[in-house]
Amino acid sequence: MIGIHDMGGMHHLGPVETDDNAMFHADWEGRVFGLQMIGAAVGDWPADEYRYIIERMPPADYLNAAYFVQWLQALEQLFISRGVIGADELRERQTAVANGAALPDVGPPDPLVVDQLITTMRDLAYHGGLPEHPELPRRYHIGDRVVAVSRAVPNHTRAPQYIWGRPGTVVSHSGVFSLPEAVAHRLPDRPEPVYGVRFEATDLWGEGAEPGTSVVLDLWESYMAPLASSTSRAPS
Amino acid sequence: MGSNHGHHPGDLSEGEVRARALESLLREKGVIQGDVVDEIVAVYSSDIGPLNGARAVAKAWTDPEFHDRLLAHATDALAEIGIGGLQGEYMVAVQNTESVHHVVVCTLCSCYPWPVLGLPPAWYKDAPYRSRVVREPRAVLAEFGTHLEPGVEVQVWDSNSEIRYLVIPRRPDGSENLTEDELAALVTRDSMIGVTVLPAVGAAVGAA
Repeated sequence: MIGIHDMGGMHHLGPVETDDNAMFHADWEGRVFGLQMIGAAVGDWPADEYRYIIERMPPADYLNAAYFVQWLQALEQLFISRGVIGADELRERQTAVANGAALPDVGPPDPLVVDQLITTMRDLAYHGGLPEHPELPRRYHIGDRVVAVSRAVPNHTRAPQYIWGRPGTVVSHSGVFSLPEAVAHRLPDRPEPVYGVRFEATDLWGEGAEPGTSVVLDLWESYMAPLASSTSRAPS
Repeated sequence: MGSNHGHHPGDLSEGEVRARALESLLREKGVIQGDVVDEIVAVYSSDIGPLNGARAVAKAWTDPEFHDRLLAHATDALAEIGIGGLQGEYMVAVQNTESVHHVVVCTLCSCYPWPVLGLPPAWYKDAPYRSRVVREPRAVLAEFGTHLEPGVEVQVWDSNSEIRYLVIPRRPDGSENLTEDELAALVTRDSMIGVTVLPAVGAAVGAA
């Protein structure tokens, strides 16, 4: 989707707050991180589905909200969509919290459940959770000149606007990965070869670009097309 | 988190209200129990952090064969020294040299190599860095106090896939006699993102 999240190259979004080194600005942000890990451990959603929810936040909210409110947006929708919580009861609980009303006490924790949750989350933290894919035949090779295709689709994609239609050079073969379009929308898996593709800054931003600058992205084959040119290989 | 006292209506930010409400409901449903949230936050506050990446960099500086393995197959090389996990399942290490400087971003969201650097700082996730560093990296680096020599190429890595990038900073001048542990202590998180370079060791007091 062409959305506000796709902000590579945008002007006038403010100064980089180089002193803002906080991982969490407040306790609640850390707790949201924890809730995300719970969701990752026991939920049934991939990162791209999570990302797509955030991408569809109203643009003003996306820009103005605290970063971890973006995560809350995704967590709330995902837990609701999976039937873990209801939208109405969430709204009621939010009202209760905001009004300082007493919240229901929960019983003592079940040590077995606690252990299982902690074990699962630590396993995720230290061992990860992404599948490997077997090799697939490759359409492109290192040195190939390619063009990034436009992905003006309403669904999730990981091809940012600033490369659409721009020429690049394949610099690596990065492996085989599931196409995010399929992952985000729970379609049948579409693994494709992914390549590191280098774009010269002048091709992205024009003559005003910083000289001697390039940007490298990882492109799925669906994101690329051969560059129509009499020169098929990059100049040495 | 069963209690909700000690504040007045309107005290809590939107994020805090929504976070408390969601956690409260999930506890009521039994999805969360006990201290699980605190436990996993502690893992990322105290254990998984930039010291991991610093260890890998220091080893790469002192062990040329490890350095080559790190550049060729970073995920496997990091696993050799016990580093890996969520958001680092596919690692690539890129080496800064006297002719090329690397810097990492995620323009589309905030993807970051958690196993080597922990959780990202706020500036990395926010709109200004994400929008500007792909278009004017040297200007952004200058705001971090980093001024590259003229003629140094800059390569920006936009983490748009599940591949995560670790910058290997240049080994500082004057560090030749340091142990691997001493070297690791020099390596900053920002240098492994690529927004800073590491200063020479033992710069004279009062040097400009």
